[in-house]
Amino acid sequence: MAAGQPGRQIMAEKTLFRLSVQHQDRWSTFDADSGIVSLSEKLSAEQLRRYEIFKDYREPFLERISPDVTVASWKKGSVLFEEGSYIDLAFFVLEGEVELSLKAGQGQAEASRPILETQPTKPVGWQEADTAAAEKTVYFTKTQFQKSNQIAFLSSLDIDLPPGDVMRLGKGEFFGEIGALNGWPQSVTAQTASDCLLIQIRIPALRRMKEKSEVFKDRIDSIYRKRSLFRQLKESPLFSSCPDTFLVGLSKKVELVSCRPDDVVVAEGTPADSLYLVRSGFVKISRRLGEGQQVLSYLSKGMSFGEPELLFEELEDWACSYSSVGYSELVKFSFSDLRRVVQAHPEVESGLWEQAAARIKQSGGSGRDLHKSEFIQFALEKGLVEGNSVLVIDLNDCTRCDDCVRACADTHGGRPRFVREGDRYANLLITKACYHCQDPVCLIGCPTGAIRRANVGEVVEIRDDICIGCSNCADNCPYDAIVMHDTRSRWGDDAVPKSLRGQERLLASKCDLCYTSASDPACVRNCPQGCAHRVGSIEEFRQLLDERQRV
Amino acid sequence: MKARFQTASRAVDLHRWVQSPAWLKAFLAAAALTMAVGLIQLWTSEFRSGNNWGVAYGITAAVLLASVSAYSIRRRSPGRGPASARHWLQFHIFGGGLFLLMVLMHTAFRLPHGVLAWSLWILSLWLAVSGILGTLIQRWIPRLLTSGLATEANYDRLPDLAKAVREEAESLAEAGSIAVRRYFQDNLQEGFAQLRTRPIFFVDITGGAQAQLRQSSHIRGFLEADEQKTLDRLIELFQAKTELDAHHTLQKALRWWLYGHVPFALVLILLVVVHVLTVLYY
Amino acid sequence: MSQENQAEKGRFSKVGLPVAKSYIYPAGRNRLLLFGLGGALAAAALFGADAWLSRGELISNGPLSSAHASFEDDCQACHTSFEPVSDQKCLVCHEKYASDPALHSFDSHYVYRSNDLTRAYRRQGETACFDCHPEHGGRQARIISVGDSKCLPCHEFDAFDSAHPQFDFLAEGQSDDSKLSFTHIRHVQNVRREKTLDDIEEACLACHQPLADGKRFAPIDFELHCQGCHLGPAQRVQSEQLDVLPPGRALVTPQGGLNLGVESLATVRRRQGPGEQWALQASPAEFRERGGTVVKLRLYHEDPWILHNLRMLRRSLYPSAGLADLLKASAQVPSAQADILYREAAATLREYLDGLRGRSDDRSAMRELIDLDRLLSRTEERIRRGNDPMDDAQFLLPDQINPALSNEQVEQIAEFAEQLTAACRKCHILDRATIARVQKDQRVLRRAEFNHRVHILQRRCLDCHGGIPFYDLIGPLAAADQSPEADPQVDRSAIQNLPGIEECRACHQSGLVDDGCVTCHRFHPDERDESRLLLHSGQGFSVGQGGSR
Repeated sequence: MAAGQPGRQIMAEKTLFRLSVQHQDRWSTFDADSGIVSLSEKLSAEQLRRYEIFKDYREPFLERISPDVTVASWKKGSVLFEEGSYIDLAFFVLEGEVELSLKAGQGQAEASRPILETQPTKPVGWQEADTAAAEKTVYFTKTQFQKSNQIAFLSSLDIDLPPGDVMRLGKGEFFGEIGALNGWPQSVTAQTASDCLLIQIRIPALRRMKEKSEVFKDRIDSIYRKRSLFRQLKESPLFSSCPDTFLVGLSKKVELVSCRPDDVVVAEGTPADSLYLVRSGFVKISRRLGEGQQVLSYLSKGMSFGEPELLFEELEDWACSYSSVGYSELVKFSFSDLRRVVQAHPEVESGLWEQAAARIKQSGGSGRDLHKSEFIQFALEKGLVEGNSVLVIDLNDCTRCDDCVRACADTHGGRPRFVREGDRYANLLITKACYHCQDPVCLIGCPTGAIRRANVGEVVEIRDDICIGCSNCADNCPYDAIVMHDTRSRWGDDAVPKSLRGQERLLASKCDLCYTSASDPACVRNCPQGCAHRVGSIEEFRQLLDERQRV
Repeated sequence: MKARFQTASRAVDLHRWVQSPAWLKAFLAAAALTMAVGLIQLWTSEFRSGNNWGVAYGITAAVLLASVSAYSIRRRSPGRGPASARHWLQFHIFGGGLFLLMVLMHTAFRLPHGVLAWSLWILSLWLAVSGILGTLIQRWIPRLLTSGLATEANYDRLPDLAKAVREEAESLAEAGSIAVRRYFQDNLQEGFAQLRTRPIFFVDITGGAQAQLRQSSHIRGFLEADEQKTLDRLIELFQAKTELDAHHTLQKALRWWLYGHVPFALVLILLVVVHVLTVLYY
Repeated sequence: MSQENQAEKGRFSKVGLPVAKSYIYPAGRNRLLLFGLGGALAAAALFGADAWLSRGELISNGPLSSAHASFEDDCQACHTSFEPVSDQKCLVCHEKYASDPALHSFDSHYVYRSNDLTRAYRRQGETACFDCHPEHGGRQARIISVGDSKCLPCHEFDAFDSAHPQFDFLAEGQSDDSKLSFTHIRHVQNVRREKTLDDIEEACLACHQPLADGKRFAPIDFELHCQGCHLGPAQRVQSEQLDVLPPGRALVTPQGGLNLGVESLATVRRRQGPGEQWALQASPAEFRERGGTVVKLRLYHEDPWILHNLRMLRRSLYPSAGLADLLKASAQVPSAQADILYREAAATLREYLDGLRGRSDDRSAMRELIDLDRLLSRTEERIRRGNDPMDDAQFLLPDQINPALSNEQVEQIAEFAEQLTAACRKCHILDRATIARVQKDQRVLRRAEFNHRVHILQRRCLDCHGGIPFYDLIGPLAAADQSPEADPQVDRSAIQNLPGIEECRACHQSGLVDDGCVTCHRFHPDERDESRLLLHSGQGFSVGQGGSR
């Protein structure tokens, strides 16, 4: 149930009317940039089927996704997207060549821009390449992000670029879909090396394609398995010294595990037989204490668990329970496979021991301190670990004047994007304003792709002109951060099928960190007591707590 | 050595007294400067309200008055204002204190003559006093709310919340046994009836709930297990309602003290204009 | 987020959220401003109505003093729109101070009033009256009584009883010397005896007679106060026997010889020189000439024959004395009263002129007449103008005695002069062949005013004029063996017997009698010129000004 108005399921799939208008809506901002020479009109199902990538789909389906597909021709030398930016498109090269490079060099790429910069990415062009060339395995380098510590992000781009090198993609190459689907930042910069013709596919279409077509899904998974997983293994502290061929082999043997919220991956006391690597989402470490479970710590992207159990023969069973906090994806390595690795490559063992020590320390420390574990439990439940920018209000200073809400409303046309309500921890109120999650769940299920990363760091925004008010995002958001506003208008008769005519038109809205203005978010700027803070990580939250409780 | 230094700097923890020690220091410096100038004047016997220095103090006071009043404009235009609201408020508070000092220097610390002069003087004094009271309220009540109450509620939501709580309590009481219902009617119903403003919350944040619930321990002996659960729930709801009342009372105070400050400020501004006009005209 | 958390998203989240305009912009928000504006408009209406329709009482600084209450409704009587209160408005009624702005004695006060130390002149419309006499103090306010705070910023005498300096007369180290051989005690005893008075103070009043207003006393005058006993009709005082200077002989011969002698009446008469009219009126019967000596049988005060001969002696000592010749006594006066000398000189010159006018046939006399006339008019002009500081420099005798005379001769002349003025020297002092001018002016307070009448009701004369210990020496409780003549040393040491500031402080101190500045000091000068804050008479603006007179 969304906070505010109850959601209505307006089935966008059923609006067959005015698809061309939808197409116009969705692609309208793209040719604001100089690189695009022309964008096609909405393509009919027939036209789409001519392309290799769409040939497996049936015409009604193609018709349905056609508003989210366009063919764009690009000038030579224009930038498609830059490292660290977010895109909501996937690209297929029809003609021409696209050049990929790492601008900043190995390991130091500023992949995540600070929130206050307003530099939207430009869409990119495509180049044709041989289909056979698509089988080429290429790898990418690890990039470090500003905030996170040594977490190897899984790039959406499976290109291996030694520093200073440039890679070219030609006709038939398809890339960008993983980053688009998952809302992750790009790890390379793409530029057109010549005049290009590209098919650009937006997320809603991509998602449906993945759901609809096993072939497509397998393709994505296999690409991931071959390329991204390999890269991650290569970059992880465990396997960095292993030869590539071995890792390729290993990557073929792993199992990919998907978890829903609260799924127990492994339970305390059960036999331990696998090492797990967290691919996305968060995993909670807990141990039985009395009648309940005491939360000890948590793991995020790129971290692994199971090293102590692997190394110590005596630890046959899992010492703690590991369960998924939200939706998460894990990579599972069986111990037998790994033991062979250790035998063949003794240098891996030292890395494993280090990790094991870190793991034991992490869970041991919290075990003794109930307060700390209570805090971690709270942080996991309320999603503080997720959030890149959580609006926290210190209630000891807040005079409940609502100036923050008023400022938000004034900045956004009279409609505030949050309410000064939420959970409370000690004297800090965690308001229901968008957290700008690292792994936003709200992006899933948007039929029009109106909700997306704003290409300014981690800001998630909703584009008013595209949103149809289906409230999927509001329903999905676990933190009630999205509000459905009543626009007091109705859909035009030709925009919706008969059964839905006369319905109110709603608009989803959420905090966008005021990224279009050059200053701090309006809520923080306008609190007279200075008690509104945007907290970026759990450490910052802790710090704020310590500071404010002293006073 | 390091530890000792840290302890020493904690000895005068200005954050306990004032939200922004930096602003406090600036204010004290400005006040000290003004008083130093005044002392020099006293020594050279120039210290009276008739001469040019007195007018200078008056002009400074008027300028300060105008600029601290601009704070209310800033609060009403959140998008457009320069600088964060926090700095505006600190300037308002300390600028207001400096304003009072300037007014006193302007009158050479003498009592005024005439209705207009008395009105100006009394209003200035009242504004400063009410302002200081306001800062005290704004430091005290939020802490009271945060530390004393388990819940947090928006002021505008309180009527709806109170209604929801009351409805649940009434339905529980309706459905419960006679003993529970009687207990409810005798002790709790009145408490649920309306959202109340009770001054006792300023002194006792629990609102005397302990005393009111005293009887429940007696009645518990007469109830069966599931009725006891109902009773527990009713007590929980009653405590929730008490907290809502506390929120109502205290948050209302936070809103209503402004009526003792802002209207007087507007009257003062107008009287200052009248004062300037009459001085120039006559 | 876990399933169970989904279910209980906070206790109150199931209630509908008021994301409404009334929440964001509550009605109460503008209520504050409305209250304020309402109050402000009401206040504006109130004060405005009062100012324009009524008497402006609310905006005024207070009611006017009762003297000005009759035009309390008429603001324009004093105020000019958009200008400070102007002096001219005060002078409309207080004309006394209008006739000559210079009388405000603002010249030294002027500069400070304007707060501009570089200015020494007065600007048009510059206000000064209200700075010391502020209005709007209420009916009971006394505008005339100016508080010390108006004076003290510049005159840093914090309090009368501590920081105020001693009176000029006593402070400047002037001796209590009237240049008269006078002893109070003996005189008081004589008066008491004569008039059979028990009370000493009644004897004071025999000579020190109060004027009609009771504030001041009449100056001591020989004719009024001394002649009764000294040189009066009842006494016959005669001069000593003096050698006569033969006619045609000069006192000092060109060869350096000295002929000491006095001119006989006949000689003077025959000559009929300027200023010798007195000889025509003198009676020869008062002279007895025998064998080259003469005795004047009856001497008068300022006896013209003695003064004439004394002048001759003086001229022999100081041949180029200049204007000193025009004076009867020496030229020592208090510097503030230098104009007395000029007046005396002018009177003498007029006398000379009168004498010369009748002799139109004498050519030299005519020439002399013209010269003298010129001199006289210059002197009178000088007196009239009063700008240039007057001093006694031109009237002083030069320091150097006639070099043609030997020391012995000078001594002889001096001795002769003493002989000549033997009778005068009973009271007067002879110095450099000149009678020393009696310092008659007994005013201690020159810049302040003292009113005897209000004091005499509470104190007796000798309570303040206590320099001479009358009561100790001749009072009823004095020791019987104290000689009535007392100790001349004691008597003469306080010959003027004027009180110092300590006497005043006995009562005029904070907490007791009023000790404010204006109690004694008049700011606006008296036309009678009795006391001025400035000691120069008739002076307007002294600092670099071309003269407003």
